Amino acid sequence: MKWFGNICLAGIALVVFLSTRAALGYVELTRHGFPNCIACHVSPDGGGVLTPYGRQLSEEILSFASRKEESKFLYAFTPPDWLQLGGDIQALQLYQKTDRFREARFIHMQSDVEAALSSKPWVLDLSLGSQSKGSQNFSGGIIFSRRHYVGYRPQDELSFRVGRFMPAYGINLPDHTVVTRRDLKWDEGGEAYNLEGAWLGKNMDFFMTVVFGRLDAPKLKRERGVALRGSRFFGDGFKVGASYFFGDSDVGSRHFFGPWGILGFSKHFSVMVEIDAGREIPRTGESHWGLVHLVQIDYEPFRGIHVFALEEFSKLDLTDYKNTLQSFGLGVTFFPRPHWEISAAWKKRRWLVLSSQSYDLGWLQVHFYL
Amino acid sequence: MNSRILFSVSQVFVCLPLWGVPANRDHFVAVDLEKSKGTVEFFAVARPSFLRIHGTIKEGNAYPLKGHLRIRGLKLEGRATFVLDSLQTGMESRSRKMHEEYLETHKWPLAEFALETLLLPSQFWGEEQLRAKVPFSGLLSFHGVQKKISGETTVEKNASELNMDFRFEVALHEFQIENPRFLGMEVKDSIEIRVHLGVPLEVVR
Repeated sequence: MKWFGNICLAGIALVVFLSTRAALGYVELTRHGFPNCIACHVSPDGGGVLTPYGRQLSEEILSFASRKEESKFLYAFTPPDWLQLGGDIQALQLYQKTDRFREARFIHMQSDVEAALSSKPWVLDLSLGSQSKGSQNFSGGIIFSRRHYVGYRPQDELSFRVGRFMPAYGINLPDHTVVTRRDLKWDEGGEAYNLEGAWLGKNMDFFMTVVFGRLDAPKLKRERGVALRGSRFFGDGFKVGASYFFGDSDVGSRHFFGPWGILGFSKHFSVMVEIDAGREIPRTGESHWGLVHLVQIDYEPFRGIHVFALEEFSKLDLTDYKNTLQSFGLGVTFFPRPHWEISAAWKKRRWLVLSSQSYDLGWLQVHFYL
Repeated sequence: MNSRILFSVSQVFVCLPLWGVPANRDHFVAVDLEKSKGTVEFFAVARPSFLRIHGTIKEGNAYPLKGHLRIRGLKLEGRATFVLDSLQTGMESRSRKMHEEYLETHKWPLAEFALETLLLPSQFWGEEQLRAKVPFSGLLSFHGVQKKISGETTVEKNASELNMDFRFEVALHEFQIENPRFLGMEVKDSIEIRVHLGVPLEVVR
């Protein structure tokens, strides 16, 4: 009867449908000896549907508590070897308090299902979910596929794929609101149509992504360009790399580049750092240089419980005094059992465009992964 | 693949008094490993993602390394056994599969090593501090197979203790362990094993 109850629980969770971003991988797991995301995810850049190994890891390393086989898809199903199934449901309660307004808002972030079919060396990945009309990347139609691609892996080290997914740049963090994602336009709905080639070696990896924009939604006028990302893995848990992106759209072009690092000092403690500098060249007006960075310190005192502190800075136009955003924050992420993630954070933010005063920003997020 | 045996032994603190012959330039020291603490580790890589597996001794387990080492003059020799069930890989299901299906510890619970040849540096007894790499060779018995192995030891001596790091590589197929797999991951044939020993210097005279 227990399995029946689990199926019902999963079924209830599945009923919920709404917008936004794809859940991404947990890059902090690098400190457990995973140089490549492909150990746990079908996608070579991480995120999305889990491999069987990734599911087992969620049970034994990620979650506070678990019982045997609890990480199965919808608690109960083991698909055949050629099929991996997944999906994500996320919701968030947001709170903001500035000197001008106070806001509390419930956001239903995501409801997607995803499947990956593989027959070596080919992989077909397809997600299906919903998008909100309020999304800046709304392409028309509530039901849509944020990620779909065909992959080809002729050998372990080589990966090619074509389709719609997020270009490989910087640290592929789940939190799309941090400045190194949002301000560089790797926000929710940022998946574009790309052609990607990657080398995934024992100690090094390299991605090259040719970005074709949103071929399905030309009205969005998304940029086209190329992204490059390389990294090296050291010891048992250190990964450092650098990225470069060039994009061009109707409104202008931009270059961004910078180093990043995922530093797993121990099984419990890790630091993530990313710094990006770049130049935006509008079609009209003057070009300007910008800078963003993020530092996040994560400590896992007990398995499944993470406390983190972060600092972020964004100044996309170094000549504009008001174009400055800085945050300091604290948070906790709890993985109580396989399939569940609960995260809460509070940030003290100063965004000069809004006000010279700092304001409070907090949220509570619940994520259920199928 | 050729097997290279590098025997790294992590710090071992021997409490057992050792008997020596300080009046004779031919020093003699015996080390009982059972009364020491040491570390045995292994490092493996699994494809297709080049996942790194770091095997260590389970916490809380009884000390798994037994045997003895003898230093006669500049020659080091000895025998050691290691309880394979004491190893863990960081994931319980993976460790269990390693023990049950690949190491078959129910049939062969121990790994045994007989150190046959290791010559300490000529200046070993004359210098207070020393660090050197020396070759060694011996017989490794593991998973029902016995093979001659050789490698390099880092010997480090200071005022208070003697440390020895042994490192070696094992080709699993040579010990009749074929293609270990776990949830789509295949472990590469070559495994690096490290054992570290440390001995308080007052007993090494």
